Amino acid sequence: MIDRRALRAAVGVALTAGSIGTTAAAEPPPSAPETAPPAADPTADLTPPSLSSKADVPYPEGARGDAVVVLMITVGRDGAVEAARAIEGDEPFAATAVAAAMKWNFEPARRQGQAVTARIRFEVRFHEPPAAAPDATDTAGTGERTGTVPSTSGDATAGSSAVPGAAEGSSAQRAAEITIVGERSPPGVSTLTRAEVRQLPGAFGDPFRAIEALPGVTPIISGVPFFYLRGAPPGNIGYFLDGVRVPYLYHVGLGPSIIHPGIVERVDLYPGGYPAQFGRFAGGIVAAEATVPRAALHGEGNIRLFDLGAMAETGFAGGKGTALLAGRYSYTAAVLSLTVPEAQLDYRDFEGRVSYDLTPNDRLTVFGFGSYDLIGEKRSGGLLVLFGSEFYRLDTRYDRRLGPSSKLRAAVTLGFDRTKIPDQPRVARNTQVQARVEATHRAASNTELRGGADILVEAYRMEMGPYHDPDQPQTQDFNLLFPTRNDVTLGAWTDAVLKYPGVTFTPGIRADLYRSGSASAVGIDPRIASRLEVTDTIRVLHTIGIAHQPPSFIIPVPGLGIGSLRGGLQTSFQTSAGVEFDLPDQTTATFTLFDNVFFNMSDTIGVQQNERGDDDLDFISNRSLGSAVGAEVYIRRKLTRRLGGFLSYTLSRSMRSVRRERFPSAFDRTHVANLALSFDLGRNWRAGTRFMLYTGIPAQASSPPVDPPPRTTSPPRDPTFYRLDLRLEKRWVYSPTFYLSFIAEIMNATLHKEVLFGTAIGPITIPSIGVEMGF
Amino acid sequence: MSLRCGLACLALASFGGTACLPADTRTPPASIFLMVTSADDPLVTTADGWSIVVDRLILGIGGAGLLDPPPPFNYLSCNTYSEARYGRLLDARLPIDQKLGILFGLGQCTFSFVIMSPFNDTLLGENVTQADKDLMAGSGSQFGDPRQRTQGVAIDFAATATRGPETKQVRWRLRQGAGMSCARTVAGMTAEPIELASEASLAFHIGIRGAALFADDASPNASLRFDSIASADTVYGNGDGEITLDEVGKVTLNVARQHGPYNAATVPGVPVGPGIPGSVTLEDYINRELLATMVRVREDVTCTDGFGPTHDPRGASVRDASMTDTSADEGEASVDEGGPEE
Repeated sequence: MIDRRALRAAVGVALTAGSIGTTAAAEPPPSAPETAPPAADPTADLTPPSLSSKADVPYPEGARGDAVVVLMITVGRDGAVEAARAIEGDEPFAATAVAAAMKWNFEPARRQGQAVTARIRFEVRFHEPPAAAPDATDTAGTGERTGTVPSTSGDATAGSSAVPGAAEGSSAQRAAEITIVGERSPPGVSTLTRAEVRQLPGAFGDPFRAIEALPGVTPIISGVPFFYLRGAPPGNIGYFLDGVRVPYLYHVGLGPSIIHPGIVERVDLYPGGYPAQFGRFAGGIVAAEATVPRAALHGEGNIRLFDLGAMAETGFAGGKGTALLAGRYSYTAAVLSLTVPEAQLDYRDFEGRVSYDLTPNDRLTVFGFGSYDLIGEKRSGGLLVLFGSEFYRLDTRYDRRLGPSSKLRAAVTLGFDRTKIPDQPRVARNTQVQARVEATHRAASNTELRGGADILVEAYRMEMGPYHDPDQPQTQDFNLLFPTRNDVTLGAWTDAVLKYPGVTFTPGIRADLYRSGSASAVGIDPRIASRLEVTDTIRVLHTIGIAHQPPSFIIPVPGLGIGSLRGGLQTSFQTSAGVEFDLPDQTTATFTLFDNVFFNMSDTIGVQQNERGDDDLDFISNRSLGSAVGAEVYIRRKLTRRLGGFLSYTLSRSMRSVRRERFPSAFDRTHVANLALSFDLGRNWRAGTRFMLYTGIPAQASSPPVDPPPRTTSPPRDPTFYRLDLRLEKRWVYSPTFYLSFIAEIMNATLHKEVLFGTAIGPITIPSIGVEMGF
Repeated sequence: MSLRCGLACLALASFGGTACLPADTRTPPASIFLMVTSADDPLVTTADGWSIVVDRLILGIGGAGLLDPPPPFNYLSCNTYSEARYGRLLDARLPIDQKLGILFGLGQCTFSFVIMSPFNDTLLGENVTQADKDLMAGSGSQFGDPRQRTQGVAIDFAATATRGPETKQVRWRLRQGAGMSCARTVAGMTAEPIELASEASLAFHIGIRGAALFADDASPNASLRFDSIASADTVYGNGDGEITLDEVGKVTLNVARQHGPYNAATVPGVPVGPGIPGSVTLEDYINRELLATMVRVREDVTCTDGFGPTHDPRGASVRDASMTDTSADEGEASVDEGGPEE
């Protein structure tokens, strides 16, 4: 029996080796210990899987002699064996052991109290039944058993005994090799963990800002965190944090994300064909997952040129409960006031979370967060708000494990969004309440059923400012497009994860009923994804799906939603096919083809050219037929490795058709490439660089003619843009739980200007110098 | 840490950790309410004995805003809060106050508005129909320099003139607009900015006098005279009793000056007197000089055509800007977009 320290070491070794590396999505959320801050020790609170059922293995008929088989078993979060294969041992013993192992059940591995999928090595020893023993079955107790594995208790030390097959004999006590693997992500998703994002130059440690480096993402302007995703405009991309929809992810302009990075475990980017649990967006999904509550006191803080932030979490009630507080505050206003006294720029965000385990199977969590942004001008003895937005969410959720195979989540979310509209003397406000329920049930060893339903009630209100002429036609049009009204959205979804040898299917469907003012619409969205394991290192991935979305604005703006389903639902048909390779040296490569079609699309900025619209707001609500085809290449080695990096490249063509014109989207970029490298220089120095290059957009005249010429499918383009980002970090580790880092980072170090619509912009260069600490 | 403490921390973070968006804390502004009303008498008599009744005066007007006062007043002394940058199509014969827009601001300001053809989102006033708007509409929805607008009709004007047995029908669709800048008039002479004090409520009535198109001079006290215009039909036209803009365009100013002075308005930078470049015909004169004199603010405010010397109908081809009215024959009017007429 090994002790806990040895086990943790073994786990660390396994994680470092990344022996399970498949795709970015399949990587374990925590970073490798070599570069991750001590607070992010992936082995913290780790409990390995332990057998909860009898591990009977029959002695194969016709076989002779003793044998040893080593299995690699994947134990799911529900304790069921998801996969087993023999990595050592001869037939027929290997096949017999694999067949038997598929019937076992485990207590799942747990990290920080939460069940995680784990892959373990398991040794099975076969002893030939004595010839003189006529009833070997009785000896085994279950028949022809000769190999056995003891069931174990749940303590950490005993957990190690679950790993090696402990047959009859002392030789069974061998060290474990455990790899914690994340839930294998659905096909087509790209995942970034916080630990990786820390090392990505130009992301400033923000997981959300790092999204722009992923394949399928087409920037609008360098450094501005709004983007097209496989042809879908910013307004067609949904943002979720722990299942809670949020209007946007970034503070004003070039600002950081609206969530403190310390509570973001990882960010999943679904560029299309996403799981049925996500809906109401016709483009893609950005879903962030918050860290699992941890009872041990930990935290981090940072101070940079523009802002400061902090996060701390601790336990209470003997570890049954946890409380987290985090926030960020920009003192840009104070800095600005020194140079431009009449300007004011402010942003801040906060997060708070309390969780409490009512029973070992019941957890209650209250998660609140909010964001605030303001751009103002000091005039006439007061403040003129040029643009201001804020939103707040309070999510109360109840999680219950319904036995080893099922779990349930019920949640209620309260939300408040508000925006002061620039150039419009008004405030848009949205108050919402959402109730949702989600359930997962493993119906069989190879079948997992998932489903959920929700109701969202939203009250949109447009508050007029005090100094305006109410007869302004634009005001009237605005009110028509964004009317005061109540919206109700009902949704339900279900899918099944069907696992067969070498192939996994995930068919799903969701239905949404939209009611806005007096208008109603229904969206039925079937989806299916598949993963075909061609070999141990090659997988073929497919996704196909339909998605619906109510009319959308140019970009997500808190409190602002087009009302009365004006123009009807948008519909997209999304397909992708890809091949994923495990390359040597822990490197993964993915090659994907995609083809998306968007019907009745609200892509205001994508169809614009020379201000063709006769009316501004008709222009906003104009619909188009869109399409996007392309190929993506993603080769990566974890940035947290001593030498890590990735190459992402997207070749795409995004077209729009309006009336009889067919033309490239205004932000169609043929080539988008990112190359990032991060390397350990030794002595806790780490450097990183990132090179980004993309094709210019279709050129437009900066002074549009009154009657612009017809658009063509191959217009001239603005020049290609590239930029170089650099990052340097020095870390001082004072104890296993305390570190201090100095980080210098610059986006667009070469001061390149980007040309947009024929006009040079910038250079948009963002330097950042800061100190970060964690405990 | 207890559960209670944890919840208290969360509540604090939720409600106290961030502030709501601030309200508008600027000093409350003054408001200026602009109205349009008729400045025509029901029946006017010209110096040469014609009695004229204005039958139709549909006016595209709007784009009201605040401006800094001209020198020598302090530049940037006008603090604009909000303007009324939209258009209305009004029947300016109605002797009622029709809203043009509301402006909000502080400081020393002048105000402005434009006379121009309607947009898609132009609001219709009383007695004005969508058919009127369709007839007069240009394209686009953005307010801007009316000189850029080469389509549409700014003023749809009709009048009946009688003298003894003679009766003449005037039917003009004036494409050319005007950009008016209005300032306080002190002692009837000096233009000064309007003082906008906090929370003050000001109102100005913009009178529209259609008969001003028959003036024989651009000065405020000019006489009305119709003989030169009548000659456009009887001498230079087809003599059918209807005086079109095309016919007026055939009367040179030299001929017209046989009946009256026909001097230019006093606009800074614009030459005054005979021989003004650009003003060759009576049609030019109506467009360039008389159209702006239709505006007469009831209060002690004077408005001038701020577009000045560049406000030249010939700049956009006077013939392009002219109209061929076929309504008399076909029951409906149309805009002739044809080329120059020689």
